Amino acid sequence: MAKRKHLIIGCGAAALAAVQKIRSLSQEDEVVMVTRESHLPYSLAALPYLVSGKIKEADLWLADEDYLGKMKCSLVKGKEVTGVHPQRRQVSYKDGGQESYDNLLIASGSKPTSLSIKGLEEVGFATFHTLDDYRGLEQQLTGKKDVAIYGGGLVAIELAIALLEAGYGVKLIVRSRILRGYFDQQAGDMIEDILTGHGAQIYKGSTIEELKKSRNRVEIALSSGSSVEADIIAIALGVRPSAPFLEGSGVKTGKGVLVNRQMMTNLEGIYAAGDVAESPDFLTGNPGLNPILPSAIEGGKVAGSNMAGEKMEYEGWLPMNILCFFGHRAFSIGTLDGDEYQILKDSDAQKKQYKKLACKDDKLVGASFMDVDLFPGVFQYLIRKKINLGQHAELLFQKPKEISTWLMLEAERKETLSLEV
Amino acid sequence: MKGFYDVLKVEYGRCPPDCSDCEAACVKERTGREGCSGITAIHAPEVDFHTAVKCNQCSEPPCLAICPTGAISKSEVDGIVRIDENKCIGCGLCTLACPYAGMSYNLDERKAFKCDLCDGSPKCLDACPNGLISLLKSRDIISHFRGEDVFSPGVPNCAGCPIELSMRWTFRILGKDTFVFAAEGCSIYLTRGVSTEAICAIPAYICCMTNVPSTATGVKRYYRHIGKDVKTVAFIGDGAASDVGFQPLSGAAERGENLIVICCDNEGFQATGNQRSGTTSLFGKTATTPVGGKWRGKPQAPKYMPLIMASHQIPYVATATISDPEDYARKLTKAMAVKDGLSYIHLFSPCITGWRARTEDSIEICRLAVETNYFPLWEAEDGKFRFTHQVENPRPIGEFTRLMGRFSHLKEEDLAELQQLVNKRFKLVKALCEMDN
Repeated sequence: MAKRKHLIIGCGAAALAAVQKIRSLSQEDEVVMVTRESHLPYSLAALPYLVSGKIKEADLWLADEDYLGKMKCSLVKGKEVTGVHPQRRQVSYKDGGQESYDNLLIASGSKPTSLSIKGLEEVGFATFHTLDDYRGLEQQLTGKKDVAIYGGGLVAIELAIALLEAGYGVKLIVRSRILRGYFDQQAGDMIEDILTGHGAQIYKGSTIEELKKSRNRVEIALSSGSSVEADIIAIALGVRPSAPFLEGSGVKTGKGVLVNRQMMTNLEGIYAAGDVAESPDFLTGNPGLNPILPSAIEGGKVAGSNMAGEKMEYEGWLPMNILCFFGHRAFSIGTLDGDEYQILKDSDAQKKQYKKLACKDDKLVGASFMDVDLFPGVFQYLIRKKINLGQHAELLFQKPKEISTWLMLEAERKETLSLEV
Repeated sequence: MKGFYDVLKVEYGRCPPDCSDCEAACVKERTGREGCSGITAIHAPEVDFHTAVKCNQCSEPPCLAICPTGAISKSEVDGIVRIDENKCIGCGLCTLACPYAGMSYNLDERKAFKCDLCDGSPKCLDACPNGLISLLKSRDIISHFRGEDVFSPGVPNCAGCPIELSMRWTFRILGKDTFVFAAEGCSIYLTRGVSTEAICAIPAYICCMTNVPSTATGVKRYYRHIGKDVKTVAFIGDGAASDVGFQPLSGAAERGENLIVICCDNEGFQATGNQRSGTTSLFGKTATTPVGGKWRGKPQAPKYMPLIMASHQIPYVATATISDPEDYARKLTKAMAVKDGLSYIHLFSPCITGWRARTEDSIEICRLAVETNYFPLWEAEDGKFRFTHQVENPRPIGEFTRLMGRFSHLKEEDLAELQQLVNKRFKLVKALCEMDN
């Protein structure tokens, strides 16, 4: 087959996973990554650890020149795609240039959700999404004492933890409650208690009405009527897919760029993966957004494989998250709320232990644990492989570490055996 | 050597209840940190399951892919997946990604940790009271034999069987950058190591007898698709080539697939118990063509596969046998040079057990097959036939048949008939060879 050129917009987790997959399948094809940013590839998940000082910027780079050289992948930095022209298989750049491709991967990621609040522009708010955002925040932080964070999602909480660890005061303003997307009320409360115990102030059920500058500080008027003061206001209300260059291209979009199980859009040769893609959900098969790192890697891998000509299907995304903070570990995988599910749930407020399983038709669909010694990935295995729990659901709940491992090993063993027969 | 790594093997599910000696040894002798063990004892008495789990050192580790700081790496030298503790930020994502309970996490240190095989001498090995943990040193074994040839010693072929010698010679010529496809037959004892510990150090795939060339075609095309030219060799018996698997072979030849097909002809389905095949000699005694009553061995003349293959107009066809190794080597070299179609080598290979011959006679039978013109050595390059070994004074066929019990029932007239058949076939090949001169 003739040499092909794969053009990738973005250089995040999905893009890197695609590059690796393409290269493992084809030595000859040309691979080019184009990024708006002026940096080497890095992971957004590592940014909070810059704030807490656990790593330095020098440790951030996931793919340095050496690695890209080994992958025979060229990285074009500081170039913004402004248009995609599927008929002539080209993209156009902001600087007027054009670039052709045989396969295009849209992995341009997401941008923070924007909002309009009275006074927002005047007070000079911070966002926390890219490395440049982090640098901006770092600058703002010099000589400051406390930060108000508007948002209760994972980015907001990770940032709060990092700031607390770095010795800053943190005021969390949350519209409902923290980590609502991943943990139920009870688990959320436990996490909240730990954060409060480490000095965070949490304002639940509050929206911001107005922001005002007062003596170098920000005065935040809340919907509850009270007001909060902080040196800096950071906004972290989640992210939205970002692919403005697709306008007029004919690529179908919904909430994000719509893709099928091959991660291909409605147009042949154009793929999407990562935060930008609206792809099938593992449990329902319905398209949806799932802007998390594991989904980006899996989606990128599938897209890369299909681009290189090796058919591969995306199993679908599972919501999942893990939070390691102040000597605690909480994680959740899958779906944990639904009337049709059998729910097993228990918590020990004293020991800060929490466990919850959701099953449907004897199969695990969700698991959430806090400070229980076990292997979280094994639960992902049980969900993804749709392992039949039979009469062992209760036992799995009682002894999650042992029974999950047993179920996993048995399934692996049987799979091997069935191949041999 | 990339791809061949040592593996820590745990006999799953056989641990003594409540034993965690491996864990203790790991903490004491490796990590030195309480609560940090690269191997975990799992005890579930409720389902009567006791085992130890550890990292599998995956070839494409999901923990490595997800690590946001690149702290996890896989060594190309020893295959071990390691965590750089200075770079680990303790985010826990790797524990979420690993499906096999191979990644542990210490809450107090806020670090992930895992088994690193103690860099090659695992401390848990000796700690196990029941010896259930072992280090499979596949790397050492394979690298040792790769220096010599691609098969380890200790193959279970019958005493005196020339297949072992033929195959070792074949792959010494073809080289190690070869994919071999085999099917049920006497050669898979080397390629697969059936019921032995024999190791084949090149990629070997065992197909059904009916689809070897098709499978090889797929792999060859796949590699061509990703831009690699690999040598793809089907090493099969006469049953798989000329009988049950003839159609895919004929199809692959006609389509012009760039494969090397070596038919190791022992004139019968010998691995399954000496049944006749399409290439079994006239009068040859087999389990299905016995002697006695109205039977006098196989009543039909054998089909002459090399000429059938030559009729496909493929770039290269040759006959060979291991009594003439240099001749065979030259033919393999020519087959390797073919890039625009299929090359076929018909390798004569006596079955000592099935043919009722003495073990020390295997090479002598090959030699006499050539010297009696029972199996003339020739090649056809792009349709040009040529003898590669001219026999000046052919020996009578009786010298060949007397070495084998399968022909012991032959009377004078049978021998004459067999001689006539041999002469006729030889004349045909000779005519083809003279055709171009």
